[in-house]
Amino acid sequence: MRNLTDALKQVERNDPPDLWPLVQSRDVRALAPSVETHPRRWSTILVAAVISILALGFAWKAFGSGPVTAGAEPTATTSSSDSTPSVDGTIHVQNGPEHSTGADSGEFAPPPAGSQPALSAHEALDVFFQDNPGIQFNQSDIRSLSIGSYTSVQADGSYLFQDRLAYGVELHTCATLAPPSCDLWIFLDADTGHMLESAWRP
Amino acid sequence: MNETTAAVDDIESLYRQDGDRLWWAVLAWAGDQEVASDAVAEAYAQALRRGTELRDPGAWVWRVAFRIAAAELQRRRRLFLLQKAAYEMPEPPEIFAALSQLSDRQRAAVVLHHYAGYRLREIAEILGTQKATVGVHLTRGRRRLRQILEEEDA
Repeated sequence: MRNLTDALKQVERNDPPDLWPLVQSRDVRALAPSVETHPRRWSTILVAAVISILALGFAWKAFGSGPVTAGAEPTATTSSSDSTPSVDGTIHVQNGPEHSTGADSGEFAPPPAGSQPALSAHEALDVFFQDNPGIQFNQSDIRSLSIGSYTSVQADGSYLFQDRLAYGVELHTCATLAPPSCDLWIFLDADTGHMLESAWRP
Repeated sequence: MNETTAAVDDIESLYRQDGDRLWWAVLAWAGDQEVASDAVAEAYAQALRRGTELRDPGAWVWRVAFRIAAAELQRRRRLFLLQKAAYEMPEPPEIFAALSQLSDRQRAAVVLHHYAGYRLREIAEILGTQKATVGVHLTRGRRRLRQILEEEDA
């Protein structure tokens, strides 16, 4: 039996770069906060987040979904989240490359009754395109847009997302890493617009 | 020499002494040189910023580098269907292909224990999990990796 330590030593065939100039050149003051947890800092962030969410919810209720300025024009929705249809039944998707071990899986199911997303589908798509300026697809690629509850389970059984209120955008496009399907989905957090995952339907 | 200069010198010494090993460990785990370089550089840059605040900068940079790499992999994973493949398998590809067949947590436990030489308690600190959990992932991961390598040898 091959010794695991010896086998792993093979990674040293890759020449490590001298990263010290890069370390020094980084303006560390502009970097994101450290991933170290700090109770006081996190409590501050939590309070700020709660206030922001409440303010966003108030603004949404008071002023509606507001103008849409960018992004794709979905074919199956309007500018109001209220009129975005719920997903029809439960959709099963895969969200890992086909060759990966125990590909992760996801489920997009009808949302709980009375769910109130903070963003309309249009607003969520705008956030998505702002987050991912290099990602493009055409209006004609969008097959459907619906709201639902998204759950993603990793290969080891742990949840990446559980019952997250999300917009599911179904795309017909094959210009990707070539999963065995051209039926692709992206799931956008219905409260923030940020993408949860991209997935494909077997 | 003032305190700040001394702290910078200490971090640079730490990088010169341990930076390559950390880079190889993150590379073995992430399978991507760009992710490894970015995570390691970022971790040492953050250590520089903190200077004398860190009690054990050596352990701290390992923990932060793995977490930064994990965040980047998570980001890439979310986008994988919408991006073109630009992945260049490091050398030799066989060991990375074998490692890629382990789950993220199994691979982390195996790399940190069998490559970097950390004990379960230390790995648990780096990964922010429980020692018992690391033990489970390590046992399963090394069993699976041995099986894969034996199949390759056969």
